[in-house]
Amino acid sequence: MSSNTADGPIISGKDLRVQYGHREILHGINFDVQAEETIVILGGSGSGKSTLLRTMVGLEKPTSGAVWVGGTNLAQASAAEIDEVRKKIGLSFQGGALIGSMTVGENVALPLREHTKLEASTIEVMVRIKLQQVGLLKFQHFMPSQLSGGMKKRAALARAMAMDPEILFFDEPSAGLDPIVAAGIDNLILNLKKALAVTIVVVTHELASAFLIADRIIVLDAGHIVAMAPTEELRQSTHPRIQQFLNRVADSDAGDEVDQLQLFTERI
Amino acid sequence: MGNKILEISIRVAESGTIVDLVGAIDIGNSPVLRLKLFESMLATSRVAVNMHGIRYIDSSGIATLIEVLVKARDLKKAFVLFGLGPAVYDVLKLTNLLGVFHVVDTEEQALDANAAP
Repeated sequence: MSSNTADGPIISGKDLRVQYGHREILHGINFDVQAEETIVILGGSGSGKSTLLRTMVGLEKPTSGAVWVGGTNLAQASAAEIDEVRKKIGLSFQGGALIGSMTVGENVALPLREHTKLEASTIEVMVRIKLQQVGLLKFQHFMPSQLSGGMKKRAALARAMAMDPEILFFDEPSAGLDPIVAAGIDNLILNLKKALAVTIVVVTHELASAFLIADRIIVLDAGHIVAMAPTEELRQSTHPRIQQFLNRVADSDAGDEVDQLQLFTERI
Repeated sequence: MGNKILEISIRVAESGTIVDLVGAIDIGNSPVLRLKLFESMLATSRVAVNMHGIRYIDSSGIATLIEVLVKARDLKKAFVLFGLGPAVYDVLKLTNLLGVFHVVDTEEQALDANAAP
């Protein structure tokens, strides 16, 4: 996007803070993503991972700090500058977000029709290329309601890839899928990683998926980054919170009891 | 993620037209490439595209090449790609299109009417 990313990270966060109302979700985190790297942001419910993803794609404005995406600091960018960044990234939402009244092919074609001056015949060929890449070429004229959950995810991915983005963001790609279909989505991400010169950022709480697809993993816990490391290094970590997450050990209820005590005794 | 530059230059030889491409083919410049290739196709019986200088091609570029190939077949003319580097080769392989295009190594082979369809 600009010359200052030529040798540096394609995405970075500097002392990034995001809050909703008075509640701070991300507490001054620092991270970077290199071009063509696959990064998984791993964390439990409420860890702030979805907020981080929404901030990286310009859907949330940081309270302070910076989030650079391809040379643009989204914290200080105008709406027009954020729109320019968004044209160059692909986002595959948790729910798929396909438009139900359009066929699968029309859904994939939509960003190309909206944002490019390509001829209709060129767009038609591009749609077929994208659908072939996700294994849905035969379903171009199906409606989203006629697809299974896994197929909807793949169709949404084809649409996210329509503009040949340099960064692909996935929000919980395996959510709601059975393990076999989820493994198919993981394999699809792996194939794209091998075949395309694309940076991939995946938000998930699925451990097996994270270790399969990631080059590096960022572990978020209560709005703090507790680890940012290659997968093998993370496996060896002795950090108690990471061990707890890797070993799927439930949180103690002690913290909740304190909160409950405050809830019932605090002056209203 | 900046705007990509594509240089297109055209040479006319006795046995066909050579289109030399240097840079990257993307959504921003593939419509111009499409136009140039269609124009070249109308003026000659053989178009040879020199891909040696291409370091990136996106799906709009691949789609453009497919459209020109279809046009060439309709007009019963030859459309040949040569000098493919890894960037182009890998994308054509990924999309299962390597066998669809007539691909050769050198300009001489691309202009050889006896070798190319």
